[in-house]
Amino acid sequence: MNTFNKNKPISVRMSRYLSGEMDDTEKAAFQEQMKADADLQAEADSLETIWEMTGPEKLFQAESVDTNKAWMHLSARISADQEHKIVQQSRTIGFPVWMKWAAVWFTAMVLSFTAYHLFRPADPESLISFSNPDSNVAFARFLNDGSIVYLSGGSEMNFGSDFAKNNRDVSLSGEAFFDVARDQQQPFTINTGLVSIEVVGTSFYVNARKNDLLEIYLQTGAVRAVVRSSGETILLKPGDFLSVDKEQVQKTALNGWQVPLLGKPLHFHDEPFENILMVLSRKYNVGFTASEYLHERSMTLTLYGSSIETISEAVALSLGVEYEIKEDNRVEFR
Amino acid sequence: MNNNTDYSSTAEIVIQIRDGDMEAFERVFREFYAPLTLYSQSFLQDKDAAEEVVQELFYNLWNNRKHTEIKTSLKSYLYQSVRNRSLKVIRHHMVRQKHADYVMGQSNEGVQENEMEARELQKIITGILSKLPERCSLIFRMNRLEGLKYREIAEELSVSVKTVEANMSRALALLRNEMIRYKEYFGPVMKEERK
Repeated sequence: MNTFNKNKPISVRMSRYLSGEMDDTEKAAFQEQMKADADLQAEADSLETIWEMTGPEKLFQAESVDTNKAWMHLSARISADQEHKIVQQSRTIGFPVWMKWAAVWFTAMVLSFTAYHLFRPADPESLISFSNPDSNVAFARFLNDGSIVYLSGGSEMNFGSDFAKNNRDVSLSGEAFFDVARDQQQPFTINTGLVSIEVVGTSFYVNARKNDLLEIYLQTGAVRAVVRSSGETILLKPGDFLSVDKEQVQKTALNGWQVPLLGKPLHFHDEPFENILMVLSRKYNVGFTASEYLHERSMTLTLYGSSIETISEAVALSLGVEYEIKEDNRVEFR
Repeated sequence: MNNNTDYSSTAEIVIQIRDGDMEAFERVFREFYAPLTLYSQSFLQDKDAAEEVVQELFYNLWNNRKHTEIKTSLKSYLYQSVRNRSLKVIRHHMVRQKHADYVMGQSNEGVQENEMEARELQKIITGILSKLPERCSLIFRMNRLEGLKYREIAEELSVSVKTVEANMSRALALLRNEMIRYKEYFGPVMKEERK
């Protein structure tokens, strides 16, 4: 029996009917016809059920797609590309390494020791940049000087390759929380469009998302902010919230404000495990330690949840290692 | 979280993405990732492969954002790209065999009771869809899952509206015939057919 032929007329009309291809007149006539013919109606009903089953709502109702995970994956891929590009760019700015050393050698040979110092080519100026494309996570990064930056989604931070050697200067566009390591000799400076912020050792929040508004909230330590246009200097103490726009500078007390950025899942990108441990220890105020052999391993991971147990478990799981919470609350991975 | 971005007037968001606005790009990604993945899955029968297709599409869209020309709406562009990429994957036989095995396995085993899970049902239906003649199944998907009108399908595939109509009706009839084999699942639907 060839049911295809048998069904042909009704299936043509039904598919036109169901996909909304019939105009009102045709539709009304078809509906009349169905009303008059019980068999036709039953046939139409069964085709309609099939039609519904093959629609996106019904067909995919059991499927769940993890968009968050997919976005993490894609944005990590994109930002890895960007970092790669930046490294490549910075390499092309300076002289090739061999040329630099050839020049040094040549100078030293021909000229005196003093001349060598005079003519030694300066280190090529290169820029290291990192950004967080994902607004759902806080991108944590451990800097060479021992400071930690939590970068919000859509934000970018840049610093020179000589960071922590000759200076501790960074520039920020967007929103970040800084936990700055104490170094009396070398202040940590954050440059934004409106304000330059100078600190010694402190933790604070900066919002430089807009060109014409800057916000700072100081959690611990002391901060000195200098308004670029006027040169005005403002000193902040813990709990102070500073807002600077083109018209005014406003300081309010906002004790105990929970910085929303710090409540977001923590994301690390290609970060040595040793650094991740430092960040976790600092953030949760609990010692996180690991066996020596794990220190060098680089990891990209996002930590959801806020309890020490959940975090430890997630880390252990991604590393494929065991962990133990010791009596003094210290967490050990091995 | 739910910002009602108007994707129909796509110009603005397309420009934002072209200018490197990652947040705009993320909005589009979050809006379309799941439906596009499921659409691709309807072709490929394989979730991982489908996710890969959509990931690659977005990755390329971002990397080539300055040169990508979106003539229709952003939505049509995305669906069309997913469709083409999925078909390309099928042509490369990467998942076809796996899927064929699955459908064969199903019909040999017969239908087990108490497995009225929507997921099973979905597998069977998409399996049947993929067993339809290629053009027939493509046209059906374009209409049913992508939401294109007969005329739009006809234009895109350079065929007549009559051809689209014939294929749609054929798909519906064949779907029904195939579903009879799974009447334990679709019992009530098939009542009329069985008399």
